[in-house]
Amino acid sequence: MIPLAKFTLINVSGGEKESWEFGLGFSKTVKITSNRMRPKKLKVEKRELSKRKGFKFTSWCKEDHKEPIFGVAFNPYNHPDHPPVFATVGSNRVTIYECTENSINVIQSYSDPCTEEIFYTVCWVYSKTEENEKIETMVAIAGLRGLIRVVSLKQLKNLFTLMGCGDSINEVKLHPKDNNLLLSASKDNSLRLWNLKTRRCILIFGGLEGHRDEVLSCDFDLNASYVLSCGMDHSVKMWSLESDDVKDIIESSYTYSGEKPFPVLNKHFPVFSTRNIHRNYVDCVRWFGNFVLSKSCENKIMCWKPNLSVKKSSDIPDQSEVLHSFEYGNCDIWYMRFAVSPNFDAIAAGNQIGKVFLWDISEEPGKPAILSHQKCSTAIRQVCFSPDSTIMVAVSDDSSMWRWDKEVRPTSN
Amino acid sequence: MYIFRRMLGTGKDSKAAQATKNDYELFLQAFQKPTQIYKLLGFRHCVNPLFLHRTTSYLKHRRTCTKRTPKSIETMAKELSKKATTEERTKSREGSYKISITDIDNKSNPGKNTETYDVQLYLRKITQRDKTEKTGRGRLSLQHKLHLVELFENNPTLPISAVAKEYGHSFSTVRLIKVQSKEIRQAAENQNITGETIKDEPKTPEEEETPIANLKFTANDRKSAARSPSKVPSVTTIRCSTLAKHSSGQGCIMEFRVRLRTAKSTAKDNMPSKKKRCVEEWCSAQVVVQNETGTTVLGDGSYTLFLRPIMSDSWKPSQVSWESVSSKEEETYIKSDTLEDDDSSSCSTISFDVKTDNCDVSVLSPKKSSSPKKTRKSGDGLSLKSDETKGVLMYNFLYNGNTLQQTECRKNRVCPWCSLNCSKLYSLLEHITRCHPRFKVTFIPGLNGFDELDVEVNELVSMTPVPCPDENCTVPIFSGPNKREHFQMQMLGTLTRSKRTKSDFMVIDIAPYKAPHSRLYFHSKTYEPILPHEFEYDSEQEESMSWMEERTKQMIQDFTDVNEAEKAIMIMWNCFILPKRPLADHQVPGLAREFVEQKGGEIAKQGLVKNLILHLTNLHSFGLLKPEELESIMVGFYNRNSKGKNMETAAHKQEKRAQKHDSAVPKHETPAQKLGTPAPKLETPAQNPVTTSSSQSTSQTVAQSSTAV
Repeated sequence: MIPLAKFTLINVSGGEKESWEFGLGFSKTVKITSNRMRPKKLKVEKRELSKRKGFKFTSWCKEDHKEPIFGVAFNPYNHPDHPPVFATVGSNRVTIYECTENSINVIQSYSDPCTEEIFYTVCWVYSKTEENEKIETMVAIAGLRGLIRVVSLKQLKNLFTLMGCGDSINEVKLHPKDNNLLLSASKDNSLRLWNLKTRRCILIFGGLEGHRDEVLSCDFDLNASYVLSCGMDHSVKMWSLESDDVKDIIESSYTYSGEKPFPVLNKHFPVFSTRNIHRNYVDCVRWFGNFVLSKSCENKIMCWKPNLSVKKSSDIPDQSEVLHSFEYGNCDIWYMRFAVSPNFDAIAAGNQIGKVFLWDISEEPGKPAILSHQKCSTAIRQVCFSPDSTIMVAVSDDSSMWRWDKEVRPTSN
Repeated sequence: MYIFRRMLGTGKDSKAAQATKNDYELFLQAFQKPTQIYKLLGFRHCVNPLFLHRTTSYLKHRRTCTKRTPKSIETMAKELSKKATTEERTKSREGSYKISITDIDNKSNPGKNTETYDVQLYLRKITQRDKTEKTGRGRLSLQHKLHLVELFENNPTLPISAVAKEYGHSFSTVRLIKVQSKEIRQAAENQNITGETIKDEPKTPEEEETPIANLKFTANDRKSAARSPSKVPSVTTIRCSTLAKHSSGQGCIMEFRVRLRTAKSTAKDNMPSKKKRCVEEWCSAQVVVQNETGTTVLGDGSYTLFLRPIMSDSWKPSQVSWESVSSKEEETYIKSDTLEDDDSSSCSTISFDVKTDNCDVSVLSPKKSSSPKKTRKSGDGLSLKSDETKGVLMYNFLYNGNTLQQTECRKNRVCPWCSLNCSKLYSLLEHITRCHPRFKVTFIPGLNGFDELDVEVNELVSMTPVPCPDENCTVPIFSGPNKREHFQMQMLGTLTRSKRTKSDFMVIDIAPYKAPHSRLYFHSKTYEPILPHEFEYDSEQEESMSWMEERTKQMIQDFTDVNEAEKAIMIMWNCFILPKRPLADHQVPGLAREFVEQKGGEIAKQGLVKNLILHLTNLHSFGLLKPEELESIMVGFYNRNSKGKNMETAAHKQEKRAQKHDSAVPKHETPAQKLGTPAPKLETPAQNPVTTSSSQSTSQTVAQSSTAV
């Protein structure tokens, strides 16, 4: 492979950590640089809190680069006994944090040699042995320059870089069943499936019936039989991974010897495509069982069901049934990601004035709980839940991140 | 038994031969490519030299021009006064060289008993022009100089008369002509004042160069000479002042010109007359009296020089390069260096004795006080030693993972790849490491001047265009095309680089090699970088048009005014024709035949025969298919798909003919029915769509399908 430019690890144990700002909720504030800021009480609507399990503000942390943090992801493969670990990306930086009792700790931080790089998205990747034993945790990060860097947290270095995307990458996702397959959604109107083992692009979703503009988000369903994608062309598309040619190409990518260029498969036809749900950029899409949650910059998250069976003549099916819309306010800018908790009982989305809306969907969806903090007033770019759904982290444009913990209410109540 | 042994023996031989051959193959594999590259570059430089402004500090000693500093009038005045004093001093301490010619051995005319030779003695200044203008002679002198210097420094007391033979000769001094000192002094003064030595060089050397001494030398019969031991050498004396004037601090060469009478063999030459048997020829031999640094190298002793015929050299200005490498000259020079011993037997020689008389070396050169100091200074830094220039240098070419080695010996310090004469070992090492980075050179100092050089192929320099390792410059930020910014770099100050010595080359320390370019190529379809081994594959190869096929099917399915059977044949035809990409009308018959051959079975099975005929008729009506071709295609189809149904064939022939006449409006009934022939078996339910579809739409859609062609 192509030798890599040095991808540096920032020494966080030494002096550089000083430039991070840390804060704890309610009781005390620990700030290393200055003492001026003091977090105020969080304003959770009393009514909502009393009814359902709410989230409580715990601590915050601010990175020193003063650029927006665009992505955050908890490590879903973390050992349950270990404290939850999450990664943030912003500027040319990726930082790994650890959630201890009620604070956030920096573990590692890496910066790209290119100062102009801006990472947009992060995804946790792992490698495993033949016996299905996880051996190494990595993060895949991508952004403005269209390079997917895979950084090993064990070896403390950039293992390899995947080159080939024609433009910036807006989201990367790991295949839920096969840890060697990585999906990227790019500004070049296409999605790519990469094999991390052979480090080649094996499949491109896009072309004739593909997206007509930047692809902003993508998601695998739990069975990894479909891929959802959405983009600036107001459309949400669904691609099948079940067809024979796709299965063949994935299989052959493992036996690829590397002598000839890999015969990349190009899928031009999605199995489902709709432009009826949203009237603007669709910047986030997630599977919710068989339903789809998608969000545009129209102050609402739509929950709908694609109807694959209804087929009008030979066209790609585009019939859908809207089930619910989660409405909230002050969110009409794009590139704002919502999150579904891993146990599927909550949806969280941030808005551009720093508030986080939380819907409890374990029962009939009602009004959202609004989590806010006085100091948090810039756009929340992404929200993420820890694997056990007890911690939520929101990252915002002023390079800060906000940790909210689920309130454990006494059983007597 | 004998035969067996013999066979064994031959087998061994061939095995050994095979082994050496394999060995050689390996050697070639390893070294062929870089060597070819450098030889080509070297040759290109000879043919079309490219001058670059660069300071090759390691080739300092080969520099032909010295740095000029502007002189102020005061310093000039000082210099003049100094010169005047030195001249006075020189006059007061007038020393002289006494040169006595002891022997001239004319190899080309050995039979003559007694012979008188005209000997002219010239003093020549070593100047830049002198070297470049008369490349041939200049270089010869250089070679002699080197040779002499070596010998002289090794053993100054030893007279160099190894080749000289002690034959008795009688000598007679005839005349001694003094130098036309006025002219030369003028020239010398000019040179000293302006400091421009090149301009004062006479244009034609024959006119203005005057011999400082003309001598006549008579060689007696050898046998008689042996008897008479008396030897009277022809003697000439050169004063040190004249020498100083000639050299003017830049070195001085003494040239002997001897007129030889050579006997030519008449049988082969076209010269029948006896008079022309003896050819008079001027030969010359040169010896360096003073080198560039002003040190006198011609000491006391006996010398023997080879006489070489004076040739009229043609000098081409375009071939002059700063390295003064020109392939032919260099080669002859190199050759002469190695073949010296063989030459001695066939060349005429001149022998002479030199005796210095009250000759203070320091007086010889006015610049002596400054210039030798300079050289010594630079010499210390580069660890230049005189013995660097001589001694055998062994090149060990290592290959096959450093397990095999081929050794080559060279006496000179000429670069084996570009034949640049570096003349010093340090310079050679520096040159190879800098100019030939495809080789890794390790220097191993040896005893007795047997130095060794281990040469390996540098693996870091690969032959393929590898993407540049620096990612930052290869992957730009996507901001679209933009204007390149103009920028200028100014270099101020000089680089201070620690000077290397020979011992630095004993350890290989090669900086990671950076590809000569930062170009990175990408696959046109996936935009992935092209890896070195993928260059042979065309990423723009015709790819499968599966998506287009699918799209075509979709679009045909979307037709509302076409029945299913028509759609089926349209899809079949379009999908068949898509990957073929026909270019011209004349290809259609062949394609139609192929189509029927390939899809015939399917068509027959689905009962689309009538649609096929309709389609072919359409092709005919568009002028793409001739009636006889149509007929033959259909005959072929029937033969293949309905064997033993000749009746049908006949019926369909008629059918076709009927359709030919009014192809635009297909019949609602089959012609077969019209003609009253028994209904053919082909009339299956699947065929009905043809008959049910309206005539208008059919013609339309088939027209569409054929326009896809």
